[in-house]
This record gives sequence, structure tokens and C-alpha cells, in this order.
Amino acid sequence: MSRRHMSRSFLCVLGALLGVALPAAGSSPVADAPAKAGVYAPITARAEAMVTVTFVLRIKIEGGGDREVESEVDCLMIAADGLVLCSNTEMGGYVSLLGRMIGGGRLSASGSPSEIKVMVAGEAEGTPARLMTRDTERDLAWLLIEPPAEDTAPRSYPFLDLEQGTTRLEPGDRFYVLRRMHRFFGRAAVVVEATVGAVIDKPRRLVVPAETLQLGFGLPVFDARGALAGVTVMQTPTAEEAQNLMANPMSFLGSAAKVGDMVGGLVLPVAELTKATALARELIAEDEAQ
Amino acid sequence: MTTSRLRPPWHATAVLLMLLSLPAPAPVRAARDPQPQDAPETTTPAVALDVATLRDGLRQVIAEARDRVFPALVSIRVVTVAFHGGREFKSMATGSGTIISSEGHVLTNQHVTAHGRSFVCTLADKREVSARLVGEDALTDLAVLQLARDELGAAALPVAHFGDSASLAVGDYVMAMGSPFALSRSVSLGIVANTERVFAGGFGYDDSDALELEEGQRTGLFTRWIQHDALINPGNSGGPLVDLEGSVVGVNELGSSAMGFAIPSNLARRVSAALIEHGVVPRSWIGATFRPIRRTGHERGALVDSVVRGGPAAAAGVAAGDLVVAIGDQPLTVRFPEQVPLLLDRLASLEIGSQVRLTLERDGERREATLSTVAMTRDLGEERAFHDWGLTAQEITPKMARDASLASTEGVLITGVRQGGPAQLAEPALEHGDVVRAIGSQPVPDLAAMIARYEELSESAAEDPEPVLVELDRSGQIHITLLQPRTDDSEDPPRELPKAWIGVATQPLVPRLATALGLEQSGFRITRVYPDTQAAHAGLAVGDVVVALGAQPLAPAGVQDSGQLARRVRALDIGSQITLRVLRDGVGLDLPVVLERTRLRPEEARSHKDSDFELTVRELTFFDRDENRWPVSVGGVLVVQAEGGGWAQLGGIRTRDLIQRIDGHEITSLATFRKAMKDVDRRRPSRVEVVVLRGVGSHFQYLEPDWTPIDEEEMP
Repeated sequence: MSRRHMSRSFLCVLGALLGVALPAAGSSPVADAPAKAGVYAPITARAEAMVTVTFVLRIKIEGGGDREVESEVDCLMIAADGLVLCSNTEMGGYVSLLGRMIGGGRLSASGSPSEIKVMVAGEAEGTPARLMTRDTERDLAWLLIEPPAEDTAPRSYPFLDLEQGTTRLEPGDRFYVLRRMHRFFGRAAVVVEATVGAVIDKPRRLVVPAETLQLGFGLPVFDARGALAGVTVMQTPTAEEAQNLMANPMSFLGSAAKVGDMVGGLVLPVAELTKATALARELIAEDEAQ
Repeated sequence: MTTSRLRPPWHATAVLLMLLSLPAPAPVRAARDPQPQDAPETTTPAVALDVATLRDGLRQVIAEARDRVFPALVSIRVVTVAFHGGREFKSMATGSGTIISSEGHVLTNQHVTAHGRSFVCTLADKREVSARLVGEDALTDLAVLQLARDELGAAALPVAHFGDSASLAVGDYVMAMGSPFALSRSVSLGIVANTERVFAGGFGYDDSDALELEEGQRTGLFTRWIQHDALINPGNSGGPLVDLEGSVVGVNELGSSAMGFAIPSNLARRVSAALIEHGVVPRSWIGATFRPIRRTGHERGALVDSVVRGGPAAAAGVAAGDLVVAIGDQPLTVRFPEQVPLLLDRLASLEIGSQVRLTLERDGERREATLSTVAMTRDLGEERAFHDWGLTAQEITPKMARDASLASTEGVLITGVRQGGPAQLAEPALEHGDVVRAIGSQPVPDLAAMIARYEELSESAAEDPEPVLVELDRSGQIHITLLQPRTDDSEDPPRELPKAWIGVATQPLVPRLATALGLEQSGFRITRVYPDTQAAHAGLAVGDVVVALGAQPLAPAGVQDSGQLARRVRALDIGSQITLRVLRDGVGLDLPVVLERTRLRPEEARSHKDSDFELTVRELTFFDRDENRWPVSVGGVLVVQAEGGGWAQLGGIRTRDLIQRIDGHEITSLATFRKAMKDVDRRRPSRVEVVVLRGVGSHFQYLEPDWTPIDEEEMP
């Protein structure tokens, strides 16, 4: 079972458990075909910075043994030196999330990705990479491709520059999510179109789609001009919040219809990505200096 | 597996349930009057006298019988391995046994010793003595261990003696001895309920069914169990059934509560002698199975139920449906299931290679067939985990090949593939049921060859393992695949991006609660101030209500806002100073606090696994200390996992123990732990003293590693 499969299964189970009827993935009908073609092409061209990350997730539950799960997720190359931005949830963060959700914040479980490989678009073989740090709250994780052997010239990877993504999305705006299909379909890049339903500030600034999107997390989101607007994320209570919110799991079921909000395609604005990535860079430098 | 079969197959369970559902037998009366012939013919006083005599006599008989066997009774502790999901799992099992020779041979059940890696016997004088496996016979569920002579001293061992199980009769008194539930030795008393119990033909069983205690492993082909009601429980397995003469008349194997099933001593004596002499029980095999003729319409003979293709019977022209009416010159009739074990035992007991003349009836015509017996082979092959390849594999026996419709016993059967392991990540992935035929360019005819190949490849590329080319047979199709071995198990979880933090725990003081407290505004009530933090230095105290962070008011509307304060803090810069507006006893205070870097959480902590001791520990975090109320002066590493059956677990180390000292080495970090364990590995002591903090109390645990080289220990 792939990690993607597992993640979806988890979300489906969570949805079913809570009685959430999640609408189908929502790409809205397109009113203006010529304009759409004009938007899709530059966005599809950005797909060269979308990489496929494969890894083996080692799940550890304190006192409960280990598990390993083969995984494949879509991530975004954000620097020429091989810095890759992923969803922490997709990189195994869902394990500790499960611990929080099921254990009311008291179950200690963690998922550590190993055997990480980054496959650049069109390449069949991945390059080894390391998970450098993660931001559970923002649902972000940063990988760094291992440097080549000393006798090999450093490689420059195609990337999306976060600094260029200064767009703000407003309610009613159209936006475009880029994702890759299953490897059975050659990991073809697909553009999914949606509309901004709201922009919220709690628990942080997030763009909320008008229709629930079930596309995965860590996917780049573009505005109608093709500028990077953010990435899709999952937003869930922290351990501390979970303890308060889910002290009685049954009462949580009472608001089941709202749980889909956490997984329905929230967009973390690019400004947040830029700020968090700067901190991640600092930490990476700190680690390397040690 | 700690029982008289803890988990019998459903058939056996059904039998037990059926029998247990029957009405309880009437209370047993003293069947025979022990009254002396010359006793006066009185009424009440005579009865009283008889009861006393009976009681005292029985007590004496039981005591004498007990004392002839009890000193030879041992409790057995086994570290076993099981294979599941492409992994090897260790666990503990317990059983009972009897010393049957002055050389220290201990008779027990095979299901007690099965898959055993090490054995420790507790003797009657409470000494614990290690033992080695002499031999196992799964077909009768019997095994023999031998106590380590060098641990026994010069004193002679107490030895129990076999009685004649054939002389037992229904209603005879018997005693079950053993260590139920792994407790120390005990005795229970009952009577023989049946002397020829078989399960074939019973409830849920066909007349030709064989009992399987483990899938694919037949048990009791030659056994007619002694059923009795001396109380036995898990842990009694392998213990003796003793008659009132103090002789071992059976070996308790199955059942629980008031229904036990023991292997007759006459069978146990023969099997144990063979195991001691050969390590195995040599048996003849003819390649045919039999069914009793009841319900078949036949009047004599034994019905050949099936014939193994290519086996001796088939080669001699015997066919399924034939009636065997004589073996040699002796007429044969097997009318009932109870007679089948006798026939099978008779054939199996022939010398291997014997010429056997069978008189057959087929379609009313009589004919003869002479066959030459061959050696009976084991039902199940040895199994082994190949960790770096992420799979478990098993030697293929002829029976396994027949059952799985494999062309031959060549190759090694994959019994499990670890999720996310190299075998599963290979393209195409290896699967349960595949037969490995070759690795690299070298054929793999059997398990030993695969182990040799595995070790050879592991040693040649320990640091940077090369991909391994595997050729396999999948349902008759020959596939090849490439698997990438993986050795490293110790990757640490990634660190969380550091953020700003205040060293307090809070609860949201929701509006209703605030009102109840007479406060005009909601906020965050401090429930704990972590010691040695900037928050403590700033003078924050439990009970303070934080109502604003700088100029921003904090007003939780409900528990959904419980993270509001922390989230706002995390959005600020580490090292910056903020002002918290707090209410203390109704008075507002502005307290400046320097924001710290978030502390390491347990799920981010680095860990280390010691493979020898099968012990995983991780570094102690700030929050571990806080949870356990351990001050900063308390150091150590926290036990995350002590694997079942590993040296650490056997030595009493538990999850969440804080290891503070190992053989005199103070443990303060992962580095000091690694150093201490390295020293232990270098010295290889027979005992390692580990001091742990468990909650608030220290505990001294003594680990007894077995440094016997793995090759000697694991290879059969």
C-alpha cells in the first residue's frame, strides 16, 4: 500500500468515522475556454519544479513496535541546490497526527521517512535526499538532495522561486492547483481549477476553497497569472489543542461535518512559505555547522 | 504456546467445547472398599473408620507417588521466535518437563520447545539451569532437552521413571504435575477418563483427519491420548501424568480445566529414547493414508484413502480405494478411528528400507503389492528471517511441496515480506509463496544455501550493499527481480523547526469560567510554570491569568482557542522580549518575558538501538523530566522498547525505564550509553548490572547475556 493510498485511506476512514460526506474533488466548470488555455499552459510549464519523492516511512509507536510503509508524494523544488518543500503530513506527519487524534494528545507515535529519493520530472531514478526539518504547525517539511560525489559537478535543479510568489488571493478569485497523477498514468501533471471561498486568519492566514478539494497536500497553487500563491496544507489542532478539543472523542463526532475543513484543500499563502523557509535555511546551516 | 496448547486449532477447540458442554459426571465414590476383612460389622463407627483409613491411605499413596516424581519435575522457560510479516519476533514461552535420565535429559512437549532459541529449566530445588535441545518430534509433540552439566554440580539428579501406560484403565487415579501459568510446581489429582482418545471421527473431524497444532504440521498420528480430569492449565504442557505407583504414565499435552490429554508413556519412552540416540525419530514411510472401514460397507481391511504420487505405495501399485487386508501374513482390519494410530505406528516403526508385502482387495479381487519403505521426512522446514532483505523464508519439505503443488523441494519458500522492506520495494516485488531459485548467478537449492549466500553478500558489502538479483518461481512462472539490501535501522526523527516559546502550560479560561471566578475578562490561566525557564525567572506563577500579549488581548471563546496564546508566541522571534499582562489575585501586572526556543519534544528525540540486548533507548527530553517530575540533575536515557525475549527484557528492563547506570558507567546521554554498551560488548560479561529509575524509585536489574555466537545458536 503506497503512502498516498494510506493517507487517503486514513482521511476516508476519518471522514467516514466522523460522518463527513466530502464532496468530490472540485474543479469548477470553466466558463472561458480560451482564457483558461492561456492560464493552463504557463502553470503546466511550472511542473518541471514538481518532483516526486519516494521514501519508506518507519512508524514507531512507543512501546508498540515498528512498521514500515512505502510512500510516494508530490513536492516542490524551491531552490537550485536541491531544497525541496513538502507537506509534513504527506512525509509521515500523519502518524503523530493520528496519535493526537486517537490518543487525545497522549499517544506517542512518530513517523520517520527513510530511503528518501527525489525524482525530478521525467527521470526514472531518484536522487538520495535528507529530511532536514519540519514545521508541524504549518504542515511543511524541507528536504535537501544529497550533494554529489566530490568528483562530480554540482547539479542545478529547476525550481520555483518563492520570492516571486507575492500574490494575494481574495474571495471569488480563481486559483489553480498543480498535481501529478499516479505513476500508472506516468505521473502526468494536471491542473485543477478552483475558486477562493474565503480567506481566514485562524488558526493562521489560510485561503479556503469554495469547494472541498481532495488532491493531497504540499501541492503548488497558482493565481490566474500563473504566479505561485501558496501550497495546499492540512491544518489540525496541535497536541495541546487536541487535548482540549478531543478530551471526549464522542463529542468530537458531534461536529463531524466540520472536520472536513481541516483536510479540504486549505492553501497556505506563499508569504508563510517564504518566512518558514528562511527559518529552515537557518536551521540547516546551523546543523551543518555542527 | 505456554499451555497444554494455549491455542489449539478450532477442531480441537470444538471437541473441547463439545465435551465441556456435556453434563458433569456424578461425584466419584470410593469405588473399592479398603475396609480390612476382619473389621467388625458395625454401622456408623465403621464408616467413620473407613473414611479415615481411606483418607490416610490415599494421602500416603499420593505422597509416595508424588515424591517419586516431584523432585524430577522441572519448569521450562523458553525464548522462542515466530515469523510474521517478513520479520522475526522473539517471545517467551513456558512449559513443564520431567528429568528422565541421570545425564539430565528432560522430556517435554515439542510445542514447548518449538522455535526455541534458549532454554532455562527451574529444578525442584529452585536452581535455574540452562539446557540445550537434544531433539524434537513434532509428529508426537515430544521433545528432549538436556540440562547443562557444568551448572549442576556433582550431586546426582533425581530421575523419574516411566510406567506402563498400556496397563492404565478408565477410572484409575492419576496426578498431573507441572507449572501451570508458569507458577512454581504443583500437583492435581484426577482419574483416567479414556485410554484411547483420538480426535479423528469426532465432532468436526472426518475419520481420516489429522490434528494440526501448527498449520501444516500433523500431530498425534501415532497417538491415542489418555484423557483425564486432573486439573491442568497453560504451563502444564510437557509435564508428567503420574499413576499412584509414582511412575510417569503420560505427558500432558492438550486441554485445560477438567479435561486433559496426555501422550501415553509407552510412546513417550520410545520417542525420547530415539531422540536421545539420534536427535530425531527415524521412521518408515510408505506414502499412503488410511481410513477406518466403518461406514464404508467393507467388512475387513483398512481403506487406502490416498496415495502419494511417486511414493513407495504408488510405486508398488497401491491405489486409493484399495483395501489392505493383510500386512505380511497378518490379517488387518481397521474398523474404527481409534485403530488408525496403531496401524500408522506399526508401519512407521518398520526399519527404513524394509520390504513390506501388502495384501490388497480391489474391485473384489485380491492382489499383492510389495513395497520398500523410505525415511519419513519432516512436515515443516526450518524458517529464517533475512533482515537486510526484508523477508522470511522456509526450507521446502516434501509434504510442503505436495501441499503447495510445487514441482519439487528445490529452492526456498518465501513465507513473509516486510512492509516497506527491500523485498517489497523490489520491482517486481517478492511475495509470500514465491520460491527463490537463485541469487545472483548461483542456484539456491535449499535454506542452507540461501543463508550462506545471504551471509556472503552481507559480509562482502556491509557498508554499501550491492543490489541482489533474485530468480524466483511464482506459480510456475520464472521471474527475476532486483532487491536493494538495507541494514540501517536507526534513523532519527527529523527535528521540528524551532520557534519561540514561553515555559508555561495554560488552560483557556473561557468566559463562563472567568465569570464564575469573578473576572471581567477571559484569558489563559497558568497551570504550570516549567522550572529553569525564562517564564520562571520572569516570576510567572500558577493561577496567573494572562489576558494580553503586548498590546494584543487574549480572549479565548472556548476550548477551540486553547492554543491561541502559544500560537501567537510562536509567531514571534526567539530571543525577543514580550510583555504579558496578567491578573494575579484580581490585580493586573505587566511581566516582561524573554521568548525561548521551543524545547525538544519526545517524538523528536534521537534514539539508539543496541542489537545485542535488543534494547532501544532515546535521549531524555525536557518534557520527559517534567512529566516524571525529575529535576535537571536526573540524567539517563529512556527505554523506548525492550523487545520480547531479548536480553534486556529477560533481565527485567521495561519500556519507560530511565537507565542511569550500566556496570558502573554513569549514563547521562546517548553518547555515554553507547560508550557503556561498547564496553560491555568488549568485556562480554555473564552479568550486567543496570540501574534504572522507574517512576520515583530506583531498581537494580541484572541482565544475563548469552554471548554464544549466533551461528552456533541459530543454525539447526
